[in-house]
Amino acid sequence: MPRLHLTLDASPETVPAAGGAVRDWCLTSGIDAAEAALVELAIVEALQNAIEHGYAGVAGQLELEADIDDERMQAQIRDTAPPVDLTRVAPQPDETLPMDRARLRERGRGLEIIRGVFDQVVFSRSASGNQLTLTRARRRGPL
Amino acid sequence: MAIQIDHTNDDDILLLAVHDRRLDARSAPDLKASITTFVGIGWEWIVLDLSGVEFVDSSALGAIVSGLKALGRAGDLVIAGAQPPVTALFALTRMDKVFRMFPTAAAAVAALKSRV
Repeated sequence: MPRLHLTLDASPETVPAAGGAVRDWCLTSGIDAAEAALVELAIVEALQNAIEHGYAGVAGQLELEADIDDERMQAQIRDTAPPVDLTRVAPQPDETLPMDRARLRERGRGLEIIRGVFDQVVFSRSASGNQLTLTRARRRGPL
Repeated sequence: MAIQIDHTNDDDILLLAVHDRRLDARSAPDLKASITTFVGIGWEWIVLDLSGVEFVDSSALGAIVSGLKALGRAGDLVIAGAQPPVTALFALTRMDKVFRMFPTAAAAVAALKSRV
């Protein structure tokens, strides 16, 4: 199975091309278009989180690797920014119950998307930096 | 990053058609400014036509939420023509329970005209 490996500058400007590469890699790997779009979205959110909350305006690099087999697809995102462990963030309460426009959040849905698309989200920190590992089982409907 | 939005109106209903294929963290500030500017000058019934948009991320979704919040208790902001990846984003974030979604801009305008 093909493997994806990208290194990109930690800037919003590099994210669209990385997202496109993820989508193309998914399609090449036999993932259908609907599921590929979801995977692209979730990885874009993870990259954007690292840029906004990890590097927070400081120049740096991100490394993205992904591989796939018959059982699951897995992506690793590595950075050397100060650690931001998103997996320790508690899920947000359902803001739609009761429905009140004033209560709606304008930010903070990226992690919700990542958790919605990937079955497992693991953060690890080592001397070489941070790693977010995202795993999604194969043969699962897109939603 | 400046985004391409056309605006037309049918009586008191404003139709905003986005022509960018991608709405993300780069375009979210401009999207928010565009919608809230129209709300600020008095438009209360707004159709956001996303039929030409292939990708929306959480930042751009936040900009759309800002537009709805700017309305306060008045009017409505509805989504038209969302493609499957965009519909999936709204479902993942439960925003499909907040925004009414219509298959076409014409259907959205018709619904708002009858205040359904």
